[in-house]
Amino acid sequence: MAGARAERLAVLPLESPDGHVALGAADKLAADLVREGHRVLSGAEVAARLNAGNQSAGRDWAAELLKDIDAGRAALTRLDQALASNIARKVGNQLASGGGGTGGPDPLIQWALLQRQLAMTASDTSQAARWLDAAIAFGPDVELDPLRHPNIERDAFARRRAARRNEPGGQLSIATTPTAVEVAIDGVRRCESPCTVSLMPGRHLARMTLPAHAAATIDFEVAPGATVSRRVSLAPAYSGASLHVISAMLADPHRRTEGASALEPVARFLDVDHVIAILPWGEQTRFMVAPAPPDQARFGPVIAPADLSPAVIGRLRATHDEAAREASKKSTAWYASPITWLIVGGAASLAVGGYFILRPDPSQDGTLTVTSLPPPAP
Amino acid sequence: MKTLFLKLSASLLLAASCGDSAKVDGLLYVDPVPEPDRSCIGVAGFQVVISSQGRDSTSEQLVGPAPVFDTKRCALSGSFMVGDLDVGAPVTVTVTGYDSSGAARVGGTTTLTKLQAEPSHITLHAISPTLPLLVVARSQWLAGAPLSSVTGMIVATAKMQPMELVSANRMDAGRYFDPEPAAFGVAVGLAADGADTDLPITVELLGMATQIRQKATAVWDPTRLYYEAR
Repeated sequence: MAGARAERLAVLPLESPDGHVALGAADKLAADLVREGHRVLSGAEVAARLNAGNQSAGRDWAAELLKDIDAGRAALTRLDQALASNIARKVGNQLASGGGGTGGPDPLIQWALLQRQLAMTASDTSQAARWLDAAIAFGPDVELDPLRHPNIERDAFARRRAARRNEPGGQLSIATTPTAVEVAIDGVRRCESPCTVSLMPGRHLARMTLPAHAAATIDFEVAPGATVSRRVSLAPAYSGASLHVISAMLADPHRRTEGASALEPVARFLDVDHVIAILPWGEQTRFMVAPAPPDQARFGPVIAPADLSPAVIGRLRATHDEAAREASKKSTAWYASPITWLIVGGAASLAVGGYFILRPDPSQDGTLTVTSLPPPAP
Repeated sequence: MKTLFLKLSASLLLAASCGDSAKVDGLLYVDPVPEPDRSCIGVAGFQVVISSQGRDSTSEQLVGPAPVFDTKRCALSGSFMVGDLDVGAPVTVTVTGYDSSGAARVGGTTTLTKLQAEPSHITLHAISPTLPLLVVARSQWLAGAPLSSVTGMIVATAKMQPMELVSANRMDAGRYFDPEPAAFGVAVGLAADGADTDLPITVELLGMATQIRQKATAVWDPTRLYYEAR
């Protein structure tokens, strides 16, 4: 990357009105920009960062998970262990990424009991016992629904819970930056940070939320009588126009400038120098650079996907060169110091003198004029 | 002290410049796209980038009063000169021709291994694919208002479903937006062979105090091989 400064860039594939997204072209562009020495956030990373904090994990989310768990139980009834196992794994991942959510403890308890059923089907009694303990730790005060759980399961749950209530409890001590963050543990709002919460020993999930911030989650294990301490920082959430809205604005000729402007908060949030948005344009593509490089348009030309990388890289190079020239102009404060003048004068004299003594060839510089021959007379 | 050293340096530099150094003035001619290729038709202006030793020099947007409508007149409307080039270093020259929306239409790149007095040539070629051209004389709808008051324009058709043929604005296209009539490469909605002649279109001129939205027809000119908004 001759003469060019590495920049922080984000490549953002946007959707055309017909739902087409130039994912391939965007991925290739990201790879080519990395090869050029830039630090690049790919489309998937950008989407994940922008969506963080804007994804709810409340009651609707919990209801969806409960539906999936019911499907897993139904699969187990049909002896479709593979499907039930897949569903349990998927739900487990969602629960962990959502920190248990804020829609109550039911999804966690039902998921642990589904895992217990799976362990029992596999005749793994010790694993089944661990999952029963996990279900009780997630909801020590919950009564199982008789319509959903057979008597034998409810009895096992109640007996084990009675036994575990005699165990010494543990604690979670949580501090956050910023403070006054709402802390939900195992789906239930428990306190505002900094705070300490008593818990039944076992695995727990916590979700910390604060308006205009991305939620933070932790997955932790509490031993009997022990206190677990955690310090968590919440990053600000993206609060600008959604990518869907930006795509729609860019597709509307009357709102295109507004759409391009909406990309600038995206660049600020991602802390990148430029967002390079890729928009399908019929069979071709068009790119936008936001914020626009100095003295350049935000919109690039309509080009074939194969020409995307050279066009973007060319535009960024032009920006770098301009920036370098500006920087060199600004660095002229050396003349303010007399000492610098002494050094510069001496060095110049030495250089010119040395030049006369050591020069191998006469020096040559030149100009280049690019022009066209006059066209023929009409 | 400062003056003393300045004078010393200046006199030494003067002595150096009066020695047997030589200047070379290179000349590079931009040749039109060879016929029968008609991709240069519709080019509203050119930009030249000269790169040498990691330094790029970019010309301003070189535009004439009207886009290119004759393949033989596919030429820069002015010259671009860069000095202080090292004669022995390779120089890469890129010339790109843009339509009135700022979309590249033709281009060419050449590398001169060293600067030489004999003229060199660079031949332009189409930047594939060459898009069908729509020529729009905006002044016919301006009722005497200056073209500079138009900040953008949209050409659309509703033949099958609403479809935007052209969207251009002065902010993105820069000076390429100025030549009159305007010429736009159309990526979707117009067949390259003229099959879409007589297509009903609407031309919207933006930025005026009163928005101008004009019904027109895209008519294929079989001799010039482009569409005209009439």
